[in-house]
Amino acid sequence: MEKIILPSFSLFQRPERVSPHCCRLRINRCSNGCEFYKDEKLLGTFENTLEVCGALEDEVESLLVKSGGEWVTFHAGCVRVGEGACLIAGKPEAGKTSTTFIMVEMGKDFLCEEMAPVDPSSRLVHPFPLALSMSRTFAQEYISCHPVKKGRLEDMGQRFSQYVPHRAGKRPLPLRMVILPCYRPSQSPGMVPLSPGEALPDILGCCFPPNVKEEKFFDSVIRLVTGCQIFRLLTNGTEATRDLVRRLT
Amino acid sequence: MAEQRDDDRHYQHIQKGKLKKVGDQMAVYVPSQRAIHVLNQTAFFIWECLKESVTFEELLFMLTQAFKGDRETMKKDLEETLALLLEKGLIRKVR
Repeated sequence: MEKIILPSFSLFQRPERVSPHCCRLRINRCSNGCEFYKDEKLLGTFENTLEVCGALEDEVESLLVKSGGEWVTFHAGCVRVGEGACLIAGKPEAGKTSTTFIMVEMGKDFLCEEMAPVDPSSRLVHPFPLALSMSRTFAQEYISCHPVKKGRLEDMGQRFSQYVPHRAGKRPLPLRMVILPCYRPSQSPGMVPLSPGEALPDILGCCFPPNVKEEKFFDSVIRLVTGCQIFRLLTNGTEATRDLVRRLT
Repeated sequence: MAEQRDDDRHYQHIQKGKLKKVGDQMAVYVPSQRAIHVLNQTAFFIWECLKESVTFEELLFMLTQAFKGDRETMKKDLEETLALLLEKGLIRKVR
């Protein structure tokens, strides 16, 4: 069990930080799998470690969003590009994780996976370096063409692979760029610049539910998107994504 | 009673929409919908014209004065934009 759970969270364990929303999460092995407790209350019983790991991730994400207060939390990956943070945001299956993985493997510093918490007043993106979970098919296709150098990629069974980067950025960086990946096998690859207005609906769709009233939340997101470059990354596969990522500075 | 012709209908934007600047575009935040709608240049022009009750013909006239282009194309665009703004609850028919 530790083999799966510990690497998932290994890059951001910070025992010195205690949130007011702190809770105790406990996993017990039982005859039919794993029991998952929150503050000693049973949340569920899971047949295998991967499922309980997913539930644990959900709890950590929920805790982080609650702790964030007025921050905006994006459902996004994040890497460092130049001196700023680059969010890789989008709907499920848009290609966020594969794009984040490719960017890290191409030398960009890893900051966040799954969620990217941003303080709208300072525009700083805070690291949340969760391990990257991706389809086994994508991972196998990637390693058949390129060596994995910046992290450890492991086949986890059940049709997915886990990638743990060797290192992750520890300090917050100002938001400078947003990439909205769009994977379609039949399209021509390209990087399409978007205005803040064009991108706003997509970007709002990538936000976790806010802790503040909608208007304040919309104002925060508008402030964030108006201060950065935004691109729709049109890709039809790994090689196209690699070519497009090379152009980012 | 005869159905009122579309050209004679009056339109007006909702009173509770709040305008927000998003880069060089404008968006309308509607608290009752808990939603925000980004307007393109034409939609924002129409929104501004609809502070007061205005007919389709008056709107079309204002559009042709403000933008260059073929009148028939503008008429079709205006019909589509009004239909969309009505669907999104940003404007209403007033009489």
